[in-house]
Amino acid sequence: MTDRAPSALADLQARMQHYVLSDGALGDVLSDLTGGASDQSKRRLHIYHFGYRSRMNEALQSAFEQTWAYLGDDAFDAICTRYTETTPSHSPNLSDHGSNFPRFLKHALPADPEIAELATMDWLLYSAFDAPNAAILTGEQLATIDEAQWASLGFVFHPSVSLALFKWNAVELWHALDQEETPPVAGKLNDPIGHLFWRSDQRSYFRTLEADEHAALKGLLEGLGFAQVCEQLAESYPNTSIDASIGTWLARWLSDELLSEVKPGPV
Amino acid sequence: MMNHSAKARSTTLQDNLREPFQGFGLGLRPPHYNSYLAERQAVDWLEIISENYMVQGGKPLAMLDRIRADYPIAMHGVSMSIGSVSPLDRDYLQRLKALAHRVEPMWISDHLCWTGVHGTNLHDLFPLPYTEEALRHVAARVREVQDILGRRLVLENVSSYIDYVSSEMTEWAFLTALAEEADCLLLLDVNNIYVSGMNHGFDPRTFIDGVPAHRIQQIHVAGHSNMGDVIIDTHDAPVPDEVFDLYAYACHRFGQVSTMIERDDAIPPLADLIEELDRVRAVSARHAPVWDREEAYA
Repeated sequence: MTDRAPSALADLQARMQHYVLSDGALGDVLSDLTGGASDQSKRRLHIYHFGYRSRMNEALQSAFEQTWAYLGDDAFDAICTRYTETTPSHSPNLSDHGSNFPRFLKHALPADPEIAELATMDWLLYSAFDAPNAAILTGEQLATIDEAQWASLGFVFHPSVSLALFKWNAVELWHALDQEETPPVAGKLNDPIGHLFWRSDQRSYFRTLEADEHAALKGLLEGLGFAQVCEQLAESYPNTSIDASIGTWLARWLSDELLSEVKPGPV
Repeated sequence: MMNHSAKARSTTLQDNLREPFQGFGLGLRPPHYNSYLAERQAVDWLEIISENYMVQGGKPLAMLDRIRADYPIAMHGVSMSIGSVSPLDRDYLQRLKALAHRVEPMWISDHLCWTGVHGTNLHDLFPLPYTEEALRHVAARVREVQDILGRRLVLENVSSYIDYVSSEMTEWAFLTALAEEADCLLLLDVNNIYVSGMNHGFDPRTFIDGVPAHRIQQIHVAGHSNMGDVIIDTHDAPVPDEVFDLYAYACHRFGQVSTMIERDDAIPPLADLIEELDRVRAVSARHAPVWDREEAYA
């Protein structure tokens, strides 16, 4: 049975890992090295200590390009190092390392909430890129649905689809940074604005949503039936013609490849 | 009664475990996707970093499928952590196997190292102490992985900056014993041998002399950064002359071995790497004896 760890090897690996994850305190690890406590041993060990942080930070740089540009090299590096200290990787894939970074930023930088929103944008675009493949629902398939079924059906969305509600001008910041322009001053929006993220034809996209379309997508993504969502919208937005809007939205969702399949309602 | 040549042939065929020579390859890197799709390039095969394609969809897999249609592929992983004392990650191995089912690679490699313990992945290739205890541990794990993958695993020697006081044998003696014990194959990274040799004060040619020729499936060449008192394996520069010299020595010892340039950072245009690969071909042509499969290792 190979799952029983050999003890000397286990001790050595525990000491090395502890050193790499620590703030650089050498502890017992020098006793494992042929060079002992020499300066050369310390310099050689430091290559692993430094390499770990720089590799994790580079992974975050590629996933959070605009957040990196917004913070600048030094501040971004510092916050990445703090993140990696509290959130070591448990994935075989280094590109997964950023999955909790936006949430971390929200708590770590409470005075600058636009940064967490900017990071959310970066991450949703980044993760849509290699989200699972799935079937794409076509207009022709939708046209075959019997009228009676519309009362109860819902939709399965493509796995790359996600929504985010921003309270700050993160999108404006993102656009400026993407154009390598000086970003505007961070500011709170009058009302939060919903955004849609998805992948189509191997590229990641996002767009700003009106409140009613955001509510419709949110309801459907949460598993509500189509008719139920229409009813809720009619109540919430009495001055809007939901019937007309929903047709336009559906056509756009189909052409943007957001929908994967029709989910039959309860019989 | 068996005549001499027939006897030699039967012995060598049994001994020669490596796949036939596949020529000269490059690592598949995203900046070069379009060049591979636009026209056939002067590259015999490509090596992918397995983990980059162990995803469920999107552009990486779409590109891989299209490029795979034109080029043989070797799969090269960085997260198997074959030397770790933590249990093997069976989910990882199943996903690796699923990728292999999709890619039908020439072979699957990873590194003789550990990358973390207690569920943490440090995303680095830490050297093992070369002890009998580690040898037994790793050999059992290699056999288990080979049972899961249904094929021989190819293991690469890593660059290292430290060595352990507990080591009881040289790295090449460990690799040799492991390969025999676990019946696996080896990927010799000639740059890593050079880097470790300079860092630890051994003659890199001794390493090459000490490993079993009949198990050398693949060779990597790459560039490094010389920091004065230590050489770091950075893969961000052209293959330097000293690594080409060592590659020539390896060619002389092993004959023709499928070889590729590993470039992971400061990635130049594909044409530059193909030009560099021509030099690799030329060194192999000049220094590797071309043996018949039957004659090899007689």
